[in-house]
Amino acid sequence: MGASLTSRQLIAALTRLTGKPVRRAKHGPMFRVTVRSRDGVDCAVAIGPISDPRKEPSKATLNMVADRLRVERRELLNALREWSPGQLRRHLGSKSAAELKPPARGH
Amino acid sequence: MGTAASDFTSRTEARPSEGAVLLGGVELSRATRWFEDGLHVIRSTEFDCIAEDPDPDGAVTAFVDNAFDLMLALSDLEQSGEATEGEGETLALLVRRFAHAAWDAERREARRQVAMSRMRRRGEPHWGRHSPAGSSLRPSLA
Repeated sequence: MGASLTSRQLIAALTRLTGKPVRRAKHGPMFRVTVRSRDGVDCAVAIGPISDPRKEPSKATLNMVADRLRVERRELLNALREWSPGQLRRHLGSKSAAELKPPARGH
Repeated sequence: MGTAASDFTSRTEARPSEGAVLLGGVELSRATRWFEDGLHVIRSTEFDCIAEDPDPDGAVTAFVDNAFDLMLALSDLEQSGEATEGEGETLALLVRRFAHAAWDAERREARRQVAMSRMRRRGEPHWGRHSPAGSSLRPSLA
């Protein structure tokens, strides 16, 4: 992925980490991860839509993905590149239900 | 958010403008708005929805599209029994807001039709764009 990534690479990384999109929305695919929070509540995290795969994702889109995955924004590329699906689930599962409640905030 | 679009270009994510996205005059979501990398960005402060577009009106339209798609995705999950309690709550909120907007638009359209029919009966001249039902569901910012 290099220092940055294209929207196509972002979609591929999210597909690898979360599975197929739950919806092909008007402005791009929407992804979803479900986890049990550390306080035992079933929670879902929605990611997307990721717009036009021909372009590079905007800073706002990348920040949205980082915020929804509850990772530091500066750590996003590493998480997308290096993390396994299990690692993402463990990371999200280490949060409380309150922390996973939408809307996601910046980290 | 009732400020000229150009005023938003000085807003940042750290210092956004706060307001609401309206659909046909009905509040769809409380939201913050800022300008970043040449894009107008709108983010809900109530549920996970964000949209961006180089054009300020385009960002509002994209926000409504994304909120509608979120509602449809959550509706599918609810129907298949996969939705979490939190997703059910977000779905209920979105259904309520979109239904309110649709109902409000229908009511306004009905009032418009009654007024035009009265004018026709009285033989008064009247002007105005003919709009199909539901066309008053225009997204905007407040």
